Amino acid sequence: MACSSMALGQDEQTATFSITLNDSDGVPVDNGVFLFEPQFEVEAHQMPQQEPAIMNQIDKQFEPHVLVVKAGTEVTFPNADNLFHHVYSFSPTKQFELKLYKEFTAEPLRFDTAGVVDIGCNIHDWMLGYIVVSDSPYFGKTDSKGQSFISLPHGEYTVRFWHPQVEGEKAFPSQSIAVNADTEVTWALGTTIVSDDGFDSGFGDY
Amino acid sequence: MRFTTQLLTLFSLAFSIASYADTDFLFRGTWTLQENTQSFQNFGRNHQRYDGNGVRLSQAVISTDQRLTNDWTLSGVLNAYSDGEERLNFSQLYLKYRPLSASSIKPEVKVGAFYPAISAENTDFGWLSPHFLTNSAINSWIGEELRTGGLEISLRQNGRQVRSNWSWKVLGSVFKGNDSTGTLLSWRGFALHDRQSLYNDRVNFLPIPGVIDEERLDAPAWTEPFREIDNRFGYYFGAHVAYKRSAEMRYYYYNNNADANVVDPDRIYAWHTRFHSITLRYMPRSELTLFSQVLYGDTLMGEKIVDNDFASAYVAAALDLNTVGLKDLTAAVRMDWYRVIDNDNTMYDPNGSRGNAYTISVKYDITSRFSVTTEWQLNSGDQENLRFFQPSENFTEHLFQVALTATL
Repeated sequence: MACSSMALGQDEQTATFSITLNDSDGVPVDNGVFLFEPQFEVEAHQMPQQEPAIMNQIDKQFEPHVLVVKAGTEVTFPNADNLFHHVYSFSPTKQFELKLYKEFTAEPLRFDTAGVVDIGCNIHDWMLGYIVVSDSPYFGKTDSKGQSFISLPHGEYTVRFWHPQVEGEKAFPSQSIAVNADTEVTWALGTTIVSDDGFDSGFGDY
Repeated sequence: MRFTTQLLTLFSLAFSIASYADTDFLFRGTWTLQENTQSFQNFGRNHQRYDGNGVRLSQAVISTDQRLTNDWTLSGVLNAYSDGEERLNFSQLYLKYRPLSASSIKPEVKVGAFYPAISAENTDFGWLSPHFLTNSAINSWIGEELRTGGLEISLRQNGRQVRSNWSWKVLGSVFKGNDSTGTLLSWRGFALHDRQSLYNDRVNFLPIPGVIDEERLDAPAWTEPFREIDNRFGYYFGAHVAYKRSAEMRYYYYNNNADANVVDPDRIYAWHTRFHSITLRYMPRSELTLFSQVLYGDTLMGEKIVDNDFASAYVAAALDLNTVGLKDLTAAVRMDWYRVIDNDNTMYDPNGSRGNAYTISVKYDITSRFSVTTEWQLNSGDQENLRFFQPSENFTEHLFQVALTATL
C-alpha cells in the first residue's frame, strides 16, 4: 500500500515536457539535443531508466547521427555494413580509435566526461556522427517531426541546446525553466537547417 | 606471366586474412547484337569490342582492399577477359597510405598502378560503371591507354567535418610508363567499350598502310599502353570541389612528358600527350544523377610526324525509376561527342576523325546480387584513314547488349 502511494506521488511529481523544434523557415528540425540540468537534488527513484546506447554503422552512415547518453554510459559500436570502417574521435571529451571489420561489434566504450564527441571514419570522410555526453540524466533529442518528449520531475532546470549544424550552443542561450505541469513549447532556430545525410560513393572518399 | 603468378600469390595471401580485407567479385555475361565486322582488337575497322553477335564473359573482376596496418592498404583489381591480348592480369595494383589525422585537412599517398580519379561514371569497384555497360568515349580511352604507374599525393578536407557545405581535394602525381598514350586516338580514333587494358596488355588496331609500311612509319598495328620508352617522368595534378553530396567539379591536367623523338626496339614510338579534363556531377535529387566530362588535349609523335589535337565530351543522366513506380529499375542515357584534328603535314597518315554516340541503358536488379542490363548504342562518324579500306570515311555502328551481372 505504501509502495503504491509512493508511486502515485511520484507520478504527480512528474511532468512531460514536449518540445517542437523548427528552423527559421518553419521546417521541423531533427537531431536537436536538449539537456535539462536539474537545479535540485535528484532522488534515486527519479532517475530515468538508461536505454542501451548503440552507435551503429549502416550504409556508410552513423546511425543514429546523434546519440545522447548520460555520463558513465557504455556505448556499443556494431558495424552492419559489409565493409571495413575505421572509426575515430579526436575530441577532447573522448579520444579513441576502433577498427570495425565488416559485421563486427567492438568492445563497448565508456563515456565518462560530459561534452560533445565528434566521431568520423578514416576511410569514409563523409561519415560523421556525434555522441553528446550529458551529466544530467534528463535529456531529449528531436525526431524527424522536430519533436521530443522528456519526462521531468517537477522543479527548476537549466536548459541547454545543441545541434550538429549549429556552431557551439549559440542557438539558444542557456535558460532557466520551472517545470510544474505538462508543458508544450515550440522553439524556432534563427537559421535554416538542411539535412546533409546520404552517402554517394560517386563523390569519392572525401 | 611469371610476374602475374607472383602477384596472384600475393593476392591469394591477401584473401587468406579475410577479415582484414574488403573483397568484391563481379562476373558479367553479355549477349551482343551488332554489325558483323571485325573489331579493332582483331585489326578490324569496327570501333566495337567484339566482332559480331555472340555471348561472352565481358567482365570477371576481383577487387580487394587488404589492410596491412592501420594506415596502409593494398588495393588490387584482377580482371579476366575472353577477348583482347592479355586476358588475365591486374588492371590496378597499389598501396594506399591514409593515416589517421586530427587535422581536418588530411593527407593520402598512393603508390603503384591506378587511375587518376577523372571519371564521373566509373565509380564502382574495379573502375566499373554502375550505370552503363559501355563507357563514354573519354573513359573508354582512359581505360585502355591511361594508368598511373607512380606516386600520387593528395590533401583533402571534408566540409561536413568543419560545418561547411564545401569539401575539396588537391593532388599531384609523378609517374612512369604511359609513353605510348595517344597512339590509339591518332591511329584508331575514339571508341566506346568496356575493355580495360591490363598490366602487360597490348591493344591492336587497323593496320593503316602509312603506319605499318617499312618505308613509312614502320610501326606495329598495336600499342602497349603502359610501356616506358624514354625513361622520363610524366605528371598530373588536379583539384576536386564538392558542394555537400549534391554537386562536384574536378579539374585535372595530365602531361606524360614523353620525348616524342624516341622510338624503342619494337618500333613503339613515344607520344607526347597532354590534356585538360573537367568532370561535373550533380545530384538534384537522390534518385537523379547528372554527369558530364570534357577532355581537351594534344599529342605529338616525332618531329611533327603526328601532331593532333583531340577533344571529347559527354552528358549523361541516370534516374532511379522507383520514383515513377517501377521498382528495382534504373535508366541511364548518355550523349558522346568526340573529335581528333590532324595538324601535321604527313599525307600518308591522316588522323582526323569525329563522331557522336547515343547510349540508352536500363538496369533491373533481380536481387542485391544479380542484375540484368539492356543497352542500346549508336556510334557514327567519319575517320580519314578509313579511306584506305573502304570507299567512304563514314562509319555507323549499332550495338545492342543484354548482360547478366552477378556480384559477390
